[in-house]
Amino acid sequence: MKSKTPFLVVTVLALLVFSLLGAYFIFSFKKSKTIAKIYKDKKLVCSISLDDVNQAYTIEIKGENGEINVIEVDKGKIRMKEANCPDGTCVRMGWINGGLLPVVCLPHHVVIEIEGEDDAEKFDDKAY
Amino acid sequence: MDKKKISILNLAWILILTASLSFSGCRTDMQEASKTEEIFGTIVSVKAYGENAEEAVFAALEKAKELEKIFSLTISDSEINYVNQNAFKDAVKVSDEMFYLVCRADYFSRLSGGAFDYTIERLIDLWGIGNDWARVPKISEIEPLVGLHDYKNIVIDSQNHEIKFKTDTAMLNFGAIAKGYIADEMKSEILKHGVKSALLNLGGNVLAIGKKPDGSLWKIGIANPFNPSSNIAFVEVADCSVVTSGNYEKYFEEDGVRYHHILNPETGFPSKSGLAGTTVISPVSADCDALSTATFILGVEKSVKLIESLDGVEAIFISENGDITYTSGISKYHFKELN
Repeated sequence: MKSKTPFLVVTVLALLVFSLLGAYFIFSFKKSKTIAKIYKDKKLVCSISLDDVNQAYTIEIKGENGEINVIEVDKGKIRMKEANCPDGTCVRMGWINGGLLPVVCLPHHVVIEIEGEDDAEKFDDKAY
Repeated sequence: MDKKKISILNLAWILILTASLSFSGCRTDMQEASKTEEIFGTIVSVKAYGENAEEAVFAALEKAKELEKIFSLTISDSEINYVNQNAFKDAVKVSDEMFYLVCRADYFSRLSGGAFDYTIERLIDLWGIGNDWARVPKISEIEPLVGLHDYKNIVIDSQNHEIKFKTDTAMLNFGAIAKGYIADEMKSEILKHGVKSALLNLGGNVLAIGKKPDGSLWKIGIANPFNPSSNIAFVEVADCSVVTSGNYEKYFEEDGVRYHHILNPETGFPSKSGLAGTTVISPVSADCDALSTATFILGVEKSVKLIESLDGVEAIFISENGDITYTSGISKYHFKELN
């Protein structure tokens, strides 16, 4: 009797520790990096981990009828640098580094979205 | 004695097993579906949780596309284009959806004294804001289209579901209410599928259905009109729509002056009421949509009075100088300013 009770306690404690560790790992996966995703005509063109960018660079996305969007990527941020769309709303949005507001070039069907950052966990959505 | 000990050990195991099973059950049983599409010239995204989530998302987007064919001015054979082309000559029989929205838009036009006016399509088309032909029109072009209050010149025959224009200047444009109405209709579609938790976003118009899957409230950020990619405040809601109108959404610049897309029917020019952004919260997204435009044009003082006179509607007004004013019941949505 005396020899088996500690065994029970140790087993329960060990299981508790393991399950806590497990829970910690499951939840820590949510803290992903800042990932920018670029879509053209609803198709994913590229996905960039913004935290890993060391030097700024640009990506050119060409569409039909001479549509051109130039996207600039820098450490932790991304923007539509140039676009020959009629309204230019996408360029005026400037840099984004998170938030729930994507950069959208409606006329050219180009979307830049940021996923997996703190802001997205803080808010479910955004009214704008 | 030994049997007792073994049964205690067994009991402990069973407890641990059931605990861990129910723990993992929370994470995997909940179905989730989301989709984003471009409909009605705007980005529409739907997220739904629980059983039938996938089907509900699909049905909601189909509904939006169906309504787009009625209310879109850019689809040449849409119902609204047919009405606009024919309703001055003869009374036009319209769909139930069109009839409902005309009645609702008529209500908000009268309520706001014409600040919101669904009959100023000619003026909106003249400016072309959001299109590549956007420009500042000549005064001589604007003048004939100003202060017409044409919403009073629409004959609505509720018996036959017919619409007739009494003046040739009247033309319908539901740009300030249709997105909200489409959101409401998408919500009905989602509820029909038995989904109790979902979130819709139509180009910044948010409609929260139920609560979050974990039972907490949806936390909705409100865009900072001075830096729209950040939030200026947030609210927490369930079964509610949050709609913002702002001078930062659509605009063009000419000779260094910014012309935004919310036109004042009284002046024919982009509204200058001293507001940079307004946010309206109520259970009905169409109401939020119409009222966010109306209040943006009316300015703070009149808007606070207007919103306070309505049941179940709250609003947040952000002035051009950065002042934030809100209506008396806003605290029930846990409104909080951010730094």
